[in-house]
Amino acid sequence: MLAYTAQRVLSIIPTLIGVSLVTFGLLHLVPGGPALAMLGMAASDPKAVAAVTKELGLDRSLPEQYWIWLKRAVTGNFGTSTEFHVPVTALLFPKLEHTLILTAGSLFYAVVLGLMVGITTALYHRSLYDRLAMLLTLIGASAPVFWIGLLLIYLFAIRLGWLPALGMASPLGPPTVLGVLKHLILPAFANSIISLAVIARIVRSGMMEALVQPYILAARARGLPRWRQVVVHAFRNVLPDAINITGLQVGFLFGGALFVEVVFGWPGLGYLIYSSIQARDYVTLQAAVLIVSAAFIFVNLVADLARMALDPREARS
Amino acid sequence: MTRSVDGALTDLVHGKLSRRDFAAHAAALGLSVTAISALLRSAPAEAAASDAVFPITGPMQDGSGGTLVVGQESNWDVLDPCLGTGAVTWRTCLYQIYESLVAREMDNPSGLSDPIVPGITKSIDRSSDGKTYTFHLQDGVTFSDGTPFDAAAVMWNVERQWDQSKLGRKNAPQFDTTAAAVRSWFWNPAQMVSMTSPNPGTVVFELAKPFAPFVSGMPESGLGTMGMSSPAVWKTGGTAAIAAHPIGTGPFLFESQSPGDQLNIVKNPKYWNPAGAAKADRIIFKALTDPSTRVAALRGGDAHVIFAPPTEEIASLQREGFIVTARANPHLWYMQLNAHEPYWKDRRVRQAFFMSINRNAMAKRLMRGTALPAVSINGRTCPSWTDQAGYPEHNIKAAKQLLADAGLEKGFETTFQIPTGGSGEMDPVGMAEWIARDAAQVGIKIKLQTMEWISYLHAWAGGMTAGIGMNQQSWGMTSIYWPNLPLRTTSALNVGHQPDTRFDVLLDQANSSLDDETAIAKYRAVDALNAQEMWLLPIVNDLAPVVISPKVRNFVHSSDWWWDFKKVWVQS
Amino acid sequence: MSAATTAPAVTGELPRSARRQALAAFMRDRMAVVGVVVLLLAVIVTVLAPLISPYDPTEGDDDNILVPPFSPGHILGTDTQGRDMLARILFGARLAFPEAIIPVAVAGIIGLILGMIGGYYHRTVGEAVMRVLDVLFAIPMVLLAIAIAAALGSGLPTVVLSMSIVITPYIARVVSTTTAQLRSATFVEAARVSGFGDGRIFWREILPHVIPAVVVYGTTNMGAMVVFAAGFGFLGLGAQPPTPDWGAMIADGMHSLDSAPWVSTVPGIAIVIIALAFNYVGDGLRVALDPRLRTRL
Repeated sequence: MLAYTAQRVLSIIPTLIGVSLVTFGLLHLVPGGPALAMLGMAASDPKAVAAVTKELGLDRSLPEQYWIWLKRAVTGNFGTSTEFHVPVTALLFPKLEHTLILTAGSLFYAVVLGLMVGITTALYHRSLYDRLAMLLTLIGASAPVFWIGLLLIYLFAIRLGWLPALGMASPLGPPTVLGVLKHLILPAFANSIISLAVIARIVRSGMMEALVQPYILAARARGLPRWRQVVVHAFRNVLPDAINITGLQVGFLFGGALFVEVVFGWPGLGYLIYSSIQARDYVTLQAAVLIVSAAFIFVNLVADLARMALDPREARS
Repeated sequence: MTRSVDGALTDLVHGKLSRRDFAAHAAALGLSVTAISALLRSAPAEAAASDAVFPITGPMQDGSGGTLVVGQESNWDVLDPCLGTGAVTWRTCLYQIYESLVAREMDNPSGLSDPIVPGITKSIDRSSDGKTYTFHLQDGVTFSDGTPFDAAAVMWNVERQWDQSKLGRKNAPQFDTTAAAVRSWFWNPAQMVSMTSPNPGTVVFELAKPFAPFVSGMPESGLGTMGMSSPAVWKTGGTAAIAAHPIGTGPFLFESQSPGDQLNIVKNPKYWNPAGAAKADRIIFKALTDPSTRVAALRGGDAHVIFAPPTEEIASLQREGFIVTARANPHLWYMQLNAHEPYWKDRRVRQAFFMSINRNAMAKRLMRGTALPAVSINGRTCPSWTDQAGYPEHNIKAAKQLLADAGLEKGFETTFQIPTGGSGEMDPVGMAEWIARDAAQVGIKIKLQTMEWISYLHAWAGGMTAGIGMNQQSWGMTSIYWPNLPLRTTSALNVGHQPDTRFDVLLDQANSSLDDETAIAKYRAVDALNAQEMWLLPIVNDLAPVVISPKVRNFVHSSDWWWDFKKVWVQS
Repeated sequence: MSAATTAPAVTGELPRSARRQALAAFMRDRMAVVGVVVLLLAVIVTVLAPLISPYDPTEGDDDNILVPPFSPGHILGTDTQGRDMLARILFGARLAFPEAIIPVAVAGIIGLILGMIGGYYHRTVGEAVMRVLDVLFAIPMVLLAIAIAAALGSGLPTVVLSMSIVITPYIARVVSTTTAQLRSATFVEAARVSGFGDGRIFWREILPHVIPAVVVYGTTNMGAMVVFAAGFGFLGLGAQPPTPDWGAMIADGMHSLDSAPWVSTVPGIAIVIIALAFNYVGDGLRVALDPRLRTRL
């Protein structure tokens, strides 16, 4: 197990190098470089564009550019954003924190509501409640996130006026924990719907399977209370799958927050990535993608290890 | 000519005055362009199609204080006067912190007076040969870090963007390649040969030959300007230090920012001009790139001012008590035709295409009155703007006839390259769809090719390639200089490869004029020539609607791309 | 899903009786049948769009801008350019279906090949293949798609290509897991011992068992693909205007959510209906092709 863990951790490195290479190559396929984005319509003078391109070191060969980037990145120097002229690390970390807050909020919904819906629908399966709950989660999972977000804003922020529509905190006055939580309610919910549905369905089918296993039937015969049958016995059987799928969902919630961040004006990494593409801010993009990917890989690894710890069969194979 | 506006309007309504005469009367009465158009649109002849009339100001009331939250339609970029290129960067954020060497009054509700007003430069003298400009600086101005604003500071800032290597000299240490690139459209044609300072209050600029737009071009662009930044900051850490700690002479001070999200500025208590000191205590700029998010922010009380509201929501926002202001500014949404495509070689075909576009209906219906049909290639605030340039009206029958005369009665197919969004672009895709539909009526079949903004700029700046029939851009200046950029045959922004050198001759004559009247007349001649040749098609002028909360006081809609928020305050 | 519980699902080619059983199981799933009917109807309507559409979807009517639904002549209302919403929804479906189906098919074939290699030769070439796919897997899906679309320009081919690239690693993963399990299954061992070449083993022994997994995975994700494609349109990277595109229509209507909510609600509902139908059909297929689930439910 320890050797396996070490091997998995080490394998992150080549993957991250691969990610940085693919990102780098991809960026250079996109027409219009940072020089053009910086100059805008002032790019009327081709000589000026060439001068800026040279200044940014973008006139060198691609392998050379990548090597320079890699050498600096290894020492923790990710360069200066061409869009904002501030160090990328100073730009990224606050945004990373914001996205983590959003991810945590979404995860809370996905896990808590997902488990609740999954367990209860399994217990009362084929009831009206089961059908309705499954239909609703499926509708939620079948709708574009940006559309759901919009409807939520329209209903809860504009029509009812219960919740704030955008941002992480009120721009007036210093941010408070309570304020951030209030701002988190809608975007985190919108972001969580698909994961919520996935978790609910996995848990539901796992529970249904578990509930007819001989040991549950035996527990029932022994007269164990229903909640103990469910929670202690059946749920434990579902847990590895639930953790595995939740791990995957963390990655999705983290990497997929883009639309939600745009619609709710949430100043996170997804939105930064989107606007950096528009500004051709290669320096920021390279670092941002690396962070998102690293987080994604790391979360998957943790989920894998957790599942193995809980499911000995897996560890042996 | 001493009639009242009301009298003129009554005559118009009763048919005693033609619309054009009315406009002339109203202009003589000192009405701004927007006010005229607003009045015209309220006249019964137009009542069926028009709905919206927008004021220039919100509630006006003496007072001060409060925090103003401004919802921007896109990110600002670098907080450096030389490098900040997005229109939004200068338009709203930077103009409050920095001041331009040449100031322009943008918040005069009663219209445009002489657009160049005394600011950190008190006055400007031009020599009779038009080659020497002497700038007399305001006394007692200091940067907010306490260092003096003097001739040395002005020269330091100019040397940051003025590339002297072309003159065989070494550039100053603070010279910045990007800053020079951003301002090359100005310094290249200006051909400055020397800059001297006889005393700390005076700077003398010497040009190789007369350049009439020298002063009016200074505050211009959206692309880095003559905003004055403290040299002392640069000395602490170069360009990065300026971006991190912007220090200017303006009425507001930089406080903090989260790039791409929020920027806070506070009132400058030691502003050099007490009469022009900021009224609000603090301004917060929020980047809210999604239009519906901006509207939600306004409705939820999280923003007091939002730019570029979706036009569909304007009417309902007005009903809810929000105030929508709009005003003519230098903006022009224009198209250029690719001279290399065979069908455009015949002037009649170009004219026919222009005449097929119903710009009036586009401004009124698609833009819901937030734009005016363009009648000149010059911006509506530019002194050389005129409604007499001679652009033909929308006329399908005449257009068909012209095409038939040119042997193209069956029409032809062409491609229109457009961005999906971008700076000042309004609704490019909707507008292009509208134009394609209009052109189809005369048999011109337009295929749209949309591109994301920077990819589009890349294609656009490279000039139209074979197969692309037309493209589009939004720009314009209050300075008379602008037509040089798209129309000069040698300009990189002549993206349609327009071959007519008569434009160059007129532009040269205009730029070397020794007085403003001659320069303006020549620029109008350029406009008139284009109205016949039709290489550049002026489509609409954006009135740049803004929605403000009723709590906002002394808000005056800007007559330029940039905004001045120093008189605005918020009632608690 | 852990190896131990999945393996019994794929222990042998489906004989004819099993196929009939699967079909019967599918038919018992009422929602799946409804899903099939909805999709069939949608396809028919889509094919017939030019015949049954009341208007040209790109032809606007200046005098009828933002007409609300259930108005005479415009049952679903009109948009900001006065174009009939019903016509735009009908023609929009002509994009929505290929945008969902082609990428899944393309990625299905490529993912099948890469996944089988990855799962079968998991100590050599396969390991390398899977590592490369891990890289694509780790890059945020949305970023990958946007960057590809920005590089190639917007339009249907771009959407299809970038979606294919984005989902290939997922399908390859499903295939590689299944292949790895099959590799040690008795009937594959038997084939190997009998001296069959790798090509024959792939073709005869592994492929027939992997395909159902891909079909199920593809179908269950088809709904997500409809939504994903709409995201491209939403970001302005979809079909060239004025071609109706559901995602772009939502973006269009977002601006008038308060005064004309139907402009973005109607295409949103269309997306939900189609995605939901795909999801139910996918569920039905999954249950029908997995005997273990069939008996349990």
